[in-house]
Amino acid sequence: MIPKTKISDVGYMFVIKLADVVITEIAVPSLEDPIKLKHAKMRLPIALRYIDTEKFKVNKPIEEREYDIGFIGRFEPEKGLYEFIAAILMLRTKGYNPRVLMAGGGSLFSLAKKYESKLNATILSYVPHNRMPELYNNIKILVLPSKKEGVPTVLLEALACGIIPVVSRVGGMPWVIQRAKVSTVLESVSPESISKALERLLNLPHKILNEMSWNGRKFVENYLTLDKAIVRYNILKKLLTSLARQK
Amino acid sequence: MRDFNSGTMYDYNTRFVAENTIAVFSFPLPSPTNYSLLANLVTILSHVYHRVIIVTGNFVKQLPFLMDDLRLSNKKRVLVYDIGCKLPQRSDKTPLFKKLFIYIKIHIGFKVAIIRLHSDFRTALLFIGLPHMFPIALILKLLRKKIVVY
Repeated sequence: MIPKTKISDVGYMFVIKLADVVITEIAVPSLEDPIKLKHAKMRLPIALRYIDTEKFKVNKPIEEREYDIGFIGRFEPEKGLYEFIAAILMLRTKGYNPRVLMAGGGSLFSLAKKYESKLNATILSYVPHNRMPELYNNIKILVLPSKKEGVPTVLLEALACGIIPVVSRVGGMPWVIQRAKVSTVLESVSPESISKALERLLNLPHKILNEMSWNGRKFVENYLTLDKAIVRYNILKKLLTSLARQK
Repeated sequence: MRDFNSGTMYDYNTRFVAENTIAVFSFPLPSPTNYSLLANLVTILSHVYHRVIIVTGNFVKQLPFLMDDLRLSNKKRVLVYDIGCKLPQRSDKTPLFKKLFIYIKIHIGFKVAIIRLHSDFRTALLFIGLPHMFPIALILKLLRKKIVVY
């Protein structure tokens, strides 16, 4: 039997081939989607969406936040949930007792619920988008150990709210972290790597964590406001107009 | 724009509007996050294009939850063509034949939308659910639309 992912990859590839312009997340080919990279006629790196910086903002300094570590997203194996749980358990065996917040839904929700007390975690199911700023402002460090990703909105919104992210080396996430000058990128999606990165951050003084937090916020203000996004999408419009004229 | 009183068509205006209109096709996948992402994109496009047509399913039902996400959009420029259905959740125990029926219904909905709207836009942006959109992209290509893929 042909794997389902292969069928969808073929469909995806044909759509990319038919497109006149393919919008990509970022301008670094090594971090781009390989199918887009290989089959697109024309790539335009403008896809970083806008963040509503009035809604998603820093309301609390790091030291006043209730939860040390957060995991927000779908509770699925490809999001690195198993590794995240193992990493927290590893931290606890080392004597740390971080307060953990997990929010999302998915096929592994009941598994996460089973570990709620062992992880010293609060587990929430789907949180409406308008309640997210409040949630972000109660988390110090957000772990995104995905195995496949582009540039997730949760990362950008978290940066706008001053969270310090710990991300895997996939998609556009390392690019964002590098640009934002905030925190670190995981060497691999393994419990050891996640727990090591978290241990380092948990031992840093609040002053340094607050500096990182503001770096993330500044990045969002410099790159991801609505005005900046409009400028980027005007490039697309101009490009399409010139393509139409050529024909 | 069509002058409904006299029944005449002003070509210049029609062409201007079509050239400055973008149709965003988003496959109606079940996750509410997808609608938030769509609202984010539409907000940006509504400040760039004269008119933005959203073609998707279940958007109207999601609108009460999306008003906040569309807060900064230029709402007068946004039109919604709702095909009225969406794929069921992965966790839902929907029978396979029903899922297939919904899938076909969605595709027919998109084709009808393209036939009805094709003279109103020159550019189509395919957004969510790209692996499912090959037939849609093919028809748009045959109609000589500019296709943008996100």
